[in-house]
Amino acid sequence: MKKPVEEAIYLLVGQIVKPHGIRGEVAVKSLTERPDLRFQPGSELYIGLDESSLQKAVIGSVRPFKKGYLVVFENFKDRNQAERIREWSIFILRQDAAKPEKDTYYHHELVGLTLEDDSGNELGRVRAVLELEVYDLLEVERKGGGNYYVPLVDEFIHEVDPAAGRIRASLPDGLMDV
Amino acid sequence: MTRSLKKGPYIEPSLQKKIEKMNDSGEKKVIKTWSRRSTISPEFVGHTLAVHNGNKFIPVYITENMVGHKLGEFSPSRFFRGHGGKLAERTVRKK
Repeated sequence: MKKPVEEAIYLLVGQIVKPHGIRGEVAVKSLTERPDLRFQPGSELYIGLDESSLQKAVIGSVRPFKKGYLVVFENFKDRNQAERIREWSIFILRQDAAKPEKDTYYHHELVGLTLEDDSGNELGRVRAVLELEVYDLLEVERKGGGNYYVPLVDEFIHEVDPAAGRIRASLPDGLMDV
Repeated sequence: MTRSLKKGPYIEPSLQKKIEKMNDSGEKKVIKTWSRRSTISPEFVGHTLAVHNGNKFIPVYITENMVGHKLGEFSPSRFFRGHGGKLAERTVRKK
């Protein structure tokens, strides 16, 4: 059984947009729910174009800028060095992510889990988590192909167990066929 | 201009009929609808409607705080699918 929790090593927390000024500052767009925790002086992050070519980077200074931040990384202290990291992604190690509250799950914890009914029959596998305004949706891949959506609400989802790799749910008639 | 109060909220008659039938029988099954313009009435609460978004049906579980809104508001026609396969440090909450 697939346990997605063990597969994701890094989590994306931000995106470097472009260099700003001549002192090595880069404009960063935050993609995390905890920007206060991630973007502060001394934070150890991993930066790179993708997850296969990451290097450690420590934040030297940070200040708010428009909807994001202006960050100086300690190894990239002038404009030329900042140009090199244009459009790079910023990651943290998965184990450094804050522990979620009760009934709250990281996307990577849910993706790949098996959806089962209350008697243990497989209903599909979670392919993606879609965030909506009212509640979130699980995109589930049917065993025989094709997808359907399941609202992440107590009425349908009874138990989420990322460690066991499964979600127990009872779906109303017809939900799997839409 | 807003809809005249005299007319009352618009609900697709065929959809209303199906909901009333299910309320009478106590049955709960997913109803497909293309009527994004229908207003959610209190009789809809607790039902799941599959509302078409122009491409596919999105299940909408109706709760009390959705009453008065249109069905289409809860069936987005565009989804944000993340950052090129990279998993972000984002959480979702079971409601």
